[in-house]
Amino acid sequence: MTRKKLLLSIASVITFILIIATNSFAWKAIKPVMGPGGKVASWEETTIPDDRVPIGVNELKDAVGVFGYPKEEYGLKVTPEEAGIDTSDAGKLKRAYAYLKVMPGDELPDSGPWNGRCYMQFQCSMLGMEQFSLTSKEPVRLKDYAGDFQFDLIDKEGRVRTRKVYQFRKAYYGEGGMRYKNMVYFFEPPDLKGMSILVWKPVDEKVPDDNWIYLPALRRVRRIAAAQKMDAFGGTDMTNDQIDRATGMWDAKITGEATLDVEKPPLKGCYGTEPHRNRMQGKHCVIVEMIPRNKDWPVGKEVVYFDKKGANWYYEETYDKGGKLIKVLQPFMEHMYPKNPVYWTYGDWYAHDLRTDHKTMMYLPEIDKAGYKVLDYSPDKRDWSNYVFWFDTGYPDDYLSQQFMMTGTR
Amino acid sequence: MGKKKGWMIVFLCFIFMLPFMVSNSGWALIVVKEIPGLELGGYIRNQTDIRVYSPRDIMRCDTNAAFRADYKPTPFLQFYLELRPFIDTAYDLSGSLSKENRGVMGISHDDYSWHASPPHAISPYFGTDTEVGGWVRQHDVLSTNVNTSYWRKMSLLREAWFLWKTGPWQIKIGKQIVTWGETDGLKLMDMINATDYRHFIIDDMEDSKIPEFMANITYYFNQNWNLQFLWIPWYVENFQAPAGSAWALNGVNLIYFYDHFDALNLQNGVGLPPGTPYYIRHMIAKNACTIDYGEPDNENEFAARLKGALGSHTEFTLNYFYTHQKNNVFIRTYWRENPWLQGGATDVFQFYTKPQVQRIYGFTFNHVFGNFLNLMRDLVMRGEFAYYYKTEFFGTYHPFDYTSEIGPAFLGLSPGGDLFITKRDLLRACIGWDKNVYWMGLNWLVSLQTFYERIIGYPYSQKGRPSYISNVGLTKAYQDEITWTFYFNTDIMNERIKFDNLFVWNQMQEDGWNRFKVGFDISNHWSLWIGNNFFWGNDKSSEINPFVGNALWNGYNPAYGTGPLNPDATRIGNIRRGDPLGEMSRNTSFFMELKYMF
Repeated sequence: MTRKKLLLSIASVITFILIIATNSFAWKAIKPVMGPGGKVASWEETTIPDDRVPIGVNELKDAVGVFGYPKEEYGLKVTPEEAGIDTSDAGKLKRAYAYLKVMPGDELPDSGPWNGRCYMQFQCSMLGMEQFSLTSKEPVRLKDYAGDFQFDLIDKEGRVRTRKVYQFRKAYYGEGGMRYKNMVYFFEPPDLKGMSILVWKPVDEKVPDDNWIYLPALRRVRRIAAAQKMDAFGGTDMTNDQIDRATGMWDAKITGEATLDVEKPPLKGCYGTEPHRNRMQGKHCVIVEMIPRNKDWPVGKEVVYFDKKGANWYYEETYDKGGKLIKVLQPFMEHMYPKNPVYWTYGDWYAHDLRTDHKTMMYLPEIDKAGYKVLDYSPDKRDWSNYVFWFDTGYPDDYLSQQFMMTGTR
Repeated sequence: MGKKKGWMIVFLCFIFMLPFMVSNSGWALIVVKEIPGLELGGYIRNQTDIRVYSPRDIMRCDTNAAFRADYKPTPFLQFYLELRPFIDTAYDLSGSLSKENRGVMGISHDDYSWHASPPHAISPYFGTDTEVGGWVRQHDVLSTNVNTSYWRKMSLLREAWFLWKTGPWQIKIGKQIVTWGETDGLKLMDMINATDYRHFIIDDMEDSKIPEFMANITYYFNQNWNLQFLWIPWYVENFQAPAGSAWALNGVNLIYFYDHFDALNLQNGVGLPPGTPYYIRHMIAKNACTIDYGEPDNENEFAARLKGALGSHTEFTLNYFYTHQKNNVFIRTYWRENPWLQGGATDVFQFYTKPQVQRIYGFTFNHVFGNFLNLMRDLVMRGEFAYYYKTEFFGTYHPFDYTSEIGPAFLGLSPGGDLFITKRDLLRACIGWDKNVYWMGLNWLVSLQTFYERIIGYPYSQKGRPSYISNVGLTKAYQDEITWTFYFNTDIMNERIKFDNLFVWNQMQEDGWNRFKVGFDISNHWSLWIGNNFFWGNDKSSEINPFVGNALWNGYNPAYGTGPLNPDATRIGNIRRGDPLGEMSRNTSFFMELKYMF
């Protein structure tokens, strides 16, 4: 066969496949119908188009999306009991974390209220989507999560640069020596499109995370060192550690308690307080001070405000080695997934670097990749009814592999 | 193209990009709603290099674009198409700008012409076509030396492939790029795609690779283990910078020189007995400059790679690549009958470019140390070993007397030495270390690599005389060569400003290259990089020049005049011999890259 004939044949095959492949597929999703008392009364089944489904999830024909609550307040009203939290008994948490291999001295208490390390470990679980109920008789565990995020990088002049990513997090609860795996896949801006970062978090805290990065410009998956935990994630004002906590690298202890008041310092006027006003106001918190064990790290300590009863995480301060406050963070982890109140969901995060007056807003995008308006973080809106969550889709382990890092890119 | 027209193109490109410069709204990536799964994107970019030692010389003013169509009709199927048109106006400018190194032997661009068209082409006497490049097959390296149109055609269709996933199989067929190996900057095992040396080694890794048509099939045993097969049906050579261009290698320039000017001189009677008839001069010229453009006997290439992991912190690959040598700029002397010269013989320089079969065996690994010898935390070690079985080298041995060796008396002594081709095994290895360091309140990525190369069975003598192997700079390549690279990068202002430095030093040649650049992330769409390429090393070696013939052509007889070759020259026209990096010291430059992404 001559080259021309071969090329012609290939072109024909491609054309044929193109023609037959243009049929789009409608995906199943369910919508909560709210009843009295802010509870879900029933579910309405609907379909959503292809372009609303994250990369990877669109390989799973059985995946079902779940729309969020029509109003944010429904999610905010989920109680610690409903969410399966019990901060009065550290023993329950220790038993849930039986698979963890911690360093001597880092063991969780056998009983009594949570200490600083309990809160920090739980924070790590929230971030890694290693989520479970401490109170239910039957084990309730989140299997996997897929979704998209947006990061707005806002300089002091107000100029905005944006990054958009897909994120896959899958918890293993000790299976295969793994705590969870996390993949972040950039699809915008175009300069970063195709870049992905993969983290495998082992249960053994003495063992560093496995980290890989795929750069389309190199066309190569490259292993990177865990020390980049202190590097800013994607140019944001958050470190990699703040979105993927290395619990073995910190000492943590409770240094006090406080009731949050958005009209008083440190929250008053703080970047992110306004949109979070309703969820934070009046919450009674424990203050956990975290000091890095790696003296090479460029921070002196982090101070984190956790809901004493609900273990939620509202406010975080970062100090430099000289004790000067350099960054503040207001995360959003709530229960906006109507199908299961145990699951924590991301929302709008606000980080502010006080040294440079640079700000970051990290959030589930208000406008998705296909251009649909799905969220509105205005203080008077905060409607989650058009946002589709993808939990427990059952995607395979391959999604958290080097092969998948290159998927969908060149 | 005249100077005005060249600048006009630059101006039009600027005007085209201006609306995007003032706009920072909307999303760059274009999602075509009518066709689900189709995304369009790309960039428009200008890369300009200005020579430090001659600021009026614009070495590069390359406006290029990438238009990408990425179509995923189903999650298991992907089609990718990328077009890369370009225009490097440095080659189209004339006059005082970009003059210095746009020609061979100091002849400016306007005079030598990309297409080797008359008056420099050898006349097609007797109906033969001796024009430079006339015998060159389309994808031969040398065609690029005289004609950029081929490169335009080739790069326009940058990539075109489809990918199909089914079960544990992943099949990717089409024109594509495949990356192997663990090293940065220099390639050992990363040899699947040919390399574009139009700008020597200063281009980014992706830009430096020439996509090739291939079938790429991977079988995934599990997340950590997979086996990859590649079949490349058509051979593609490395792409050399065109002769006379800023980044042309000496070998390329010399080929052009001999092919073109030497033949021209002979045709014009230079160095030949006075009164030699034109038709004889022509035939001498044609014979003297015969180029043996070879084709591989079988163009098929194959590769296989097994990738696996040992524990969670160590990954490795075993590699095999059956390919052809991709650098074929070799030169050799050749003695043969020539009825048009006295005595029926002549000293013929022949340029041998037939690609030789190359077998490469490789091993790569990476490992993460959580705590390295209790000295250092979080250290990444990378390693790569490549064994090139029977690589063809170009060698030189010391002068000898043609009279007693092979030829008629009038050939006399060759003061420049003689040339030979030899096959030797080549071992190349690299160990690299990556570490993140906090310093000055910034996070620095620091990377150190040591490259070691050994030519197995180095030919220290040839025909009883001392000899050596030549490197690309045409000076002596040592049996053992050690090269160090040191790289760091950091950023400030939330990655708005990035600093990046690559230092390369060849310990044996004592030459090097340092590239420092600063990047500005202007907006979601715009980025700007500025920087400096600094080369140092020997650019006028004292090694014996293998390319010089007799100063006095034809048996020391002044009556015959001097030949085109000067045995004492350290440079021929603008062609200098030097160390591989040292020969580029003329190209120390400032550069700028402005990019709009959409």
